Amino acid sequence: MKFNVLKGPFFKSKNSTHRIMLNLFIALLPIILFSFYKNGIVVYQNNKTDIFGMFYPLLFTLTGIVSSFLTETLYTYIFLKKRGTELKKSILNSFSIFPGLFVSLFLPLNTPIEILIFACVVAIIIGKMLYGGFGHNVFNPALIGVLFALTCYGSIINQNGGYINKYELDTIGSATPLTNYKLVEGIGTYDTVVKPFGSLGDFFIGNIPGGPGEVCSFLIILAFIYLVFTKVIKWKIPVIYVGTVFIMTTIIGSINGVGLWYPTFSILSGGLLFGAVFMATDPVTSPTTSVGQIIYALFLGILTVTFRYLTSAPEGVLTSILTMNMFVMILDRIGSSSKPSIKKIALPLLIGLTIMTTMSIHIGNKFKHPNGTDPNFKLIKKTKDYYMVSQKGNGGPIKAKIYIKDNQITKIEILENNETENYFKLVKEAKYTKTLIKNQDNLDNIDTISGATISSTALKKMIIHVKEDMSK
Amino acid sequence: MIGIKLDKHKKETMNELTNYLKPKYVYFKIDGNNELLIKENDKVKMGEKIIKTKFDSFIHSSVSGKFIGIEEHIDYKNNKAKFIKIENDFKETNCFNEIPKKLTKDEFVNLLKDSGIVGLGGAGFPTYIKYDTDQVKTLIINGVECEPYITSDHITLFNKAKEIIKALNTIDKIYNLDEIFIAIKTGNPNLKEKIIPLISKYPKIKLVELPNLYPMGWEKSLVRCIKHTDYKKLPIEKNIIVSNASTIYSIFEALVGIPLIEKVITVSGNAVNKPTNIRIKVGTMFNDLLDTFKGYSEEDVVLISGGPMMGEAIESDEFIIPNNLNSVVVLKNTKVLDPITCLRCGKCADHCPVKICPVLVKDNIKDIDELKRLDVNRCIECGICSFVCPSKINLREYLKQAKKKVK
Repeated sequence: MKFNVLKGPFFKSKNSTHRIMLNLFIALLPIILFSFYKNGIVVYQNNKTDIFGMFYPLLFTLTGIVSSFLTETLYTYIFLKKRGTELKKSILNSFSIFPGLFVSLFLPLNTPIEILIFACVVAIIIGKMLYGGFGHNVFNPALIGVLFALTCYGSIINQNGGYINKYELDTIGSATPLTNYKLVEGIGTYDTVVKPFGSLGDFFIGNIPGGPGEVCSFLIILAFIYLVFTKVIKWKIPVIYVGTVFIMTTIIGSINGVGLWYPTFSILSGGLLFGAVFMATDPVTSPTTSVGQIIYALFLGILTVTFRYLTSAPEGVLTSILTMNMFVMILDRIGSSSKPSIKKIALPLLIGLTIMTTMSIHIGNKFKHPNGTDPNFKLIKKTKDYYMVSQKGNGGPIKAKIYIKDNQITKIEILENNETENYFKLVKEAKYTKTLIKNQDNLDNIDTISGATISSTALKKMIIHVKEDMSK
Repeated sequence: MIGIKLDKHKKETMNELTNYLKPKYVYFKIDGNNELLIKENDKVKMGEKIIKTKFDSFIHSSVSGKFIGIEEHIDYKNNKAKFIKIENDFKETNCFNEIPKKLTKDEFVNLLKDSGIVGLGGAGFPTYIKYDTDQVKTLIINGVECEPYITSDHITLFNKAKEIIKALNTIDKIYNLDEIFIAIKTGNPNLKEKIIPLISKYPKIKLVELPNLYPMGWEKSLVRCIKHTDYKKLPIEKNIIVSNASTIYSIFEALVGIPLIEKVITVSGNAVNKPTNIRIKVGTMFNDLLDTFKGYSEEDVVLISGGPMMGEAIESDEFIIPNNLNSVVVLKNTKVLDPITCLRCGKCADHCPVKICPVLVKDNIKDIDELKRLDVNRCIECGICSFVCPSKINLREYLKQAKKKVK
């Protein structure tokens, strides 16, 4: 007879970290397949790519998974000097495929494959292993990798086609809803914001250009329900995060007199839903206490709206999550004190809600403008021979002197610009100003330059406004 | 409401009760805190006071016979201790007292003290201290038994319902209570049908059914669910006393002159051949009960004194059953999974009934100031944090450590 002296409790739940990770993968599977359908099968069916191109989206994801797995395994082998069963155990328990998988779902599909691999290496080494591996990292490793790729190689990725697949290039054009949104006047109208991409229904089912994982809101919501049902993620974070963005954009919208389509567009565009469901809920880098989670999610919403409206970047999800990752420890400290929940949460919640409302009102008013004028356009000087104007581009105002003769534009001279050099080079190389002058009576039909959409659109708008003024 | 669902495993023993009332020897623990009232080779009667505890209460000999010596055995917490050994002469000569029909409060408290009544829910705290008050308005009888496998309270409540209600009536006359609740779990129709006709004569006594959650039997959750109020340290702050159903039965016996010398324990688990409740003499060695539950069905087992959630594994079945142990669960030894790195999912904090954040306790186990800030002393060691942890980290051990550190 053997009586084992073990430590209780002698009942353990059947749930395990491996099961949690498996469920996470199951939730992601439809999203991976949707990207294969949208960016592979549909493109192939329309004869825009070959059979290799059809399977490329799957290959892209697989590359992400494999490179992040290999990086971590090699790191563990070389630097942590683990061998044999210890190595096996470490591989089994560190879930190293996920950072790479998420990187591949976040990065534009046209990212050159070597940049994807590099981003995965950065995600694993800088984002995860240098902190001590699984469970110890402060920042979300996948987002570290994505941020690295987008800041260092953004222009290369854009030149390579960015988010747009070959079929969309023909049907929709070269901008994602959020890059397009940056260019509309004020906060835009349904016709300028949503219509170029179809309807809000297209946003919901993912029939819009964007990152491989982020476009299909419907599947992301399904995944959310699955993950909450299987108790993998903390439901409070996505709900409060998206809710905050919804409320703030509702306020911004109502100040500018637009309907509920506007906040709906705001939450269905960009990586908000994907980030809220999969990235903001990463257990390692989000608060463990529920009070912490509520404050964390509220501030995520505030930051995302702020970044989207008040910086030049079209998207704010990635940066908001990485920013809030830094505060997780403090939030958990607030959340874990022995005071009753109401007392713990009252002050930070009050601060958060105050910032939320004032920020919404501020943004709403900032974008408010009399009908028919473009706040991004400024007429600086007007003479018989030339216009001195400026138009907001990607990096700030583009200032130009536009020569006129007999009611026709004869020359466009760019005086100042703060555009990213690589992008603006494309505009110059394409001799875009010449095209504009040539087609000045038929501007609506001119394409913008893919890879430098914002800069070229700004120039186009500038000329449109000048023509409008001339015809008065 | 806070709590988790557990597999109940109660069917096996719900209707099983056997007696084992003739042990050859009984053993009673002695240590520096209590005073031995008899000398070696003294003859003792059944019900005779043999040990005075540190709380001024008493332990009584559960058999008649002779005090033959002091031996070392393990107790129900798996610690080695000294026990006095009494040899049973099977004559059952007793020294039970006549108890007057009408008692004042002080007489009642003294009776509880003299009869050695302790909380039979597991804590073993002397009951007379609880009842030495003029504040009590509400009495809650805890028949919830939220730990898996255990049915000793159920069987006592079922078989001795009449006696328990009689005792409640007596207590009510002494304290003039406002209300008495008998708390049982939902989904126990037999027990409900048994009790309802018996309490119909007593308008003050109400039967409440509580959800099948763990740790429902914890005093705070009972008070929260029944009276919708919270207290800081003891229920008496809100004029409430919570007593276990089996404790009330032993009060009934005390009222007719019999001190706490017999009790029911559940022997169950997936490694015993015949799970059953056994009425035993206090101080019986567990090993003596082998024939009653027909031995073990496995060679490699974990023997737990108490329930599988809060109980303790014992290194041998030769341990002594004290007056406050209500179950022994024997489980097959299943391979324990190695813990892996914490995922920080926060499930431990979500489920903690006292709202501690166990993962932070684990992270800050060396930082005493931080442990104080986290107020680890609230922990009731229910084990839910360890139960729910997907990484299989035994968080309760960290909390136990932390509690020792901040003391």
